[in-house]
Amino acid sequence: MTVTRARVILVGIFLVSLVIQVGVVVATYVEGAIAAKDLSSLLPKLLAIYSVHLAVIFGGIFAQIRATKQVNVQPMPFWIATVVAALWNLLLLWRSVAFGVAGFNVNIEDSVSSFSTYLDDASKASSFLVVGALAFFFTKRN
Amino acid sequence: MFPKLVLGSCLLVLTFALQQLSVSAQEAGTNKAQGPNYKVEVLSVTTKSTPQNKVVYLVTYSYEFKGRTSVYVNALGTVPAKGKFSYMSFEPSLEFRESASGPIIVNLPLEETIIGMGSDSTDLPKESEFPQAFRSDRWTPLATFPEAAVKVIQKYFPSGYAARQNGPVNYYITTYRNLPVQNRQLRSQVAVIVSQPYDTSGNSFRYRVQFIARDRPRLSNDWRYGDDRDQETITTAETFINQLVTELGGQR
Repeated sequence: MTVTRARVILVGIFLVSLVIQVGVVVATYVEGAIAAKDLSSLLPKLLAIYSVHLAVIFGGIFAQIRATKQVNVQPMPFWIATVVAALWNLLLLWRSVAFGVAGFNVNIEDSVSSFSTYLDDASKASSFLVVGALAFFFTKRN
Repeated sequence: MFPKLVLGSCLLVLTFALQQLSVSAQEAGTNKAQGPNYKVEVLSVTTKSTPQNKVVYLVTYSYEFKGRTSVYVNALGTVPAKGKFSYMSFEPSLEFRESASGPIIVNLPLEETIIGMGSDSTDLPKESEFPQAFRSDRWTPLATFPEAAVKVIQKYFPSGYAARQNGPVNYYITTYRNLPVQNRQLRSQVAVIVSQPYDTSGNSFRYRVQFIARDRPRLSNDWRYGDDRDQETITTAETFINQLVTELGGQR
């Protein structure tokens, strides 16, 4: 597998996860389960959580956009990076989906504050999972 | 030697007896006051805190004053000479007077009977949070109003109310209660202040009813006030207040 393909897969994991979570929060607002004020605090929070990782990813992509040389990556580092990236995103994604489900099902109790606290705590405590892998794949010279 | 020993023993016994007498007297006086023509008994006192970190005393008491038709209780107003009340008080003592400006008959300091865990909070709105607009009606006679108001308040606000006196006016401030709204994603609440007496004329006076309504989306943590509220909250609160005012007026 080439480095470019590995990067596309990793970028895909982060972007799909972010888009789903933003979609869930917006849908919860449209449903009327959260206030406009909550929407304006949750969306920037999600973007802030992803900003560090996406900055590394896009920084790496744009820095090497002119490189045409195809370099293969070892399967093992790639799979490890893919698994930890998926794990980190799943840690956030499941809570966002649970929040969204609670937004549409009035029998399930949840709150903006507990969701927000979880996002803060989980993202901070687990960022070590992906920092190394992203740095390896997105600062690596082709 | 022997007389000194006897005298010493007598003094020791007397000191012990006096100590016991003092303890018994204190026990008898705790949350109770009794005289030839009156009896006041505080049945329970628990402290709670408001969101503004003020301490309120959740007090339940019964009283009887013989030879009178009414007495004046601080924060509650003129009440019948015999009765029982349960409410939150901002004052650490219970004061009974002959009339609003009359002499004090009995002042009973409140002592906690149920020790709270310190985190027992009650969601009591501040008077300043209520809109200035009020509904008003006339009431006669003076002494029957607190009982009638309390009856209606306790029916609609089972979590209780606080009684506060500010100058000659007594305020009954309820905690928030949920409003039944159609929107399943909306949580709406209302709290009420009933205050009296205004424009007193003989045995007749006016009372006022003010209310504050608030709401929040179901998963939201912050309550919305004023223009941020959903229209359904405002409409439902007004319907509820109409019902409460009608019922209060019907108690005459």
